[in-house]
Amino acid sequence: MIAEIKRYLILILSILVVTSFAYLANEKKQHQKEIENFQEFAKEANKLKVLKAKWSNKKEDKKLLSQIKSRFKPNSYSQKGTTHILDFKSLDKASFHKLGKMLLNSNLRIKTMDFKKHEAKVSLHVEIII
Amino acid sequence: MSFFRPSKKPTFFITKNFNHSLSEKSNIVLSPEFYWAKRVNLNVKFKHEVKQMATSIFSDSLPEGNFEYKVFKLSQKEYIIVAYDIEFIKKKLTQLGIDMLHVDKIYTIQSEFLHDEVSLKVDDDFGLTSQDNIIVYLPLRYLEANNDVHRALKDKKLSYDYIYSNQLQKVNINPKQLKLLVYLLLLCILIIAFDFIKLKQDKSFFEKQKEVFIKSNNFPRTKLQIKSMQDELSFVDAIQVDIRESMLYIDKFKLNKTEYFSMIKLENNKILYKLKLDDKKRENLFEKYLSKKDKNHILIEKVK
Repeated sequence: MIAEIKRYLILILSILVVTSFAYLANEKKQHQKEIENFQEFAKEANKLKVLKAKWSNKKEDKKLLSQIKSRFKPNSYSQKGTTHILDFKSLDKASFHKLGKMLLNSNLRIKTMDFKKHEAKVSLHVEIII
Repeated sequence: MSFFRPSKKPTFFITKNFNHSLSEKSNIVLSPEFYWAKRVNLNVKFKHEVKQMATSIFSDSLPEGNFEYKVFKLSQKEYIIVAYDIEFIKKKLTQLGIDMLHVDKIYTIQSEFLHDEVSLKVDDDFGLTSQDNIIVYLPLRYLEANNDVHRALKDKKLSYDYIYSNQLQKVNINPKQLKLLVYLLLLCILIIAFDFIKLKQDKSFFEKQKEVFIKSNNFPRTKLQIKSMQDELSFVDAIQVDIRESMLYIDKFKLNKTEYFSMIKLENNKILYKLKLDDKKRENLFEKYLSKKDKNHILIEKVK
């Protein structure tokens, strides 16, 4: 009977070793999968970070908008929600080129842009989303 | 191999007159000719305490041999001790023509009818009877047998109190090896436990790192949300880049001194323009120039 108990002890310990090893292996596999999933998540998140820095950088956009306003003095300026509306009634050719370059080289989200030539002067209506 | 259930293998009752051979793995039940039994009244609680005293209880009453003892409890203070020499039994069984490879477990008849009043016929000459719970092997003329031992055993579920097991022999458990095996298993459990603790720590560290990454960048928590925001901004990126490329493409066309754009309007992902060119040929040239532009998100159209 003691031999039987000893045999059962070995059997129980063996089962414990095997099941705990299987459980540990499974946990490790799951942890590895979690790491891989997170690496994928981080990769996508970093892409988003780059896009956000480019097209959702409100601080930079506001700074640039105030620069445009102070440098080119729009005839009218208004804001509807996130849309900033600027109207330039009589820009000379040089200012128009400078303003155009500034807008196109920036990362401001241009909603609409309406340019019209009136003899030597130019009128420009711009809507920017910030 | 059944660990927790009594075996379903055929059972044979063996006396010293047994003259069959075993053709398959079988259990055998020994007649009292193969062992010695004593009923004792001791003021002890447990069987193992009785077992410790067994050698002195049987002193001077056993022949030469390497005896082992099996204790059965009858009541609170009453025990039956069976003394047996397993090597002697194996030798006797081999002499009777029994192949030990066909023997699975060996029982004593004592263990199988411990609490029963027995009066069983073994063959035409001998039978079994119980006296003070000890089963004895007697000539049939001394008892009134009402049943056959072979039939009785056939219907009986065997106990766990065997004195020999072929399986145990195969495992060949000796105390040193057993200890080593147990230590090895415990070591394995310890290693697994350490590994498990390490994994838990890794997991917790990983969760913290994940939290820091998400919070410091103010990211949403799910990949789906990230993907949705990314798609939205990717679309903005594509449109805005295309607006700039289209504008610069139009601007790159070399106009003569007298030529000019009277209007350029960007609205709803469309660039509308009015262009004053010198002649039809120049207009065709401009249209040809525009047609070379990759058409992505922004359409360029002439207003008439």
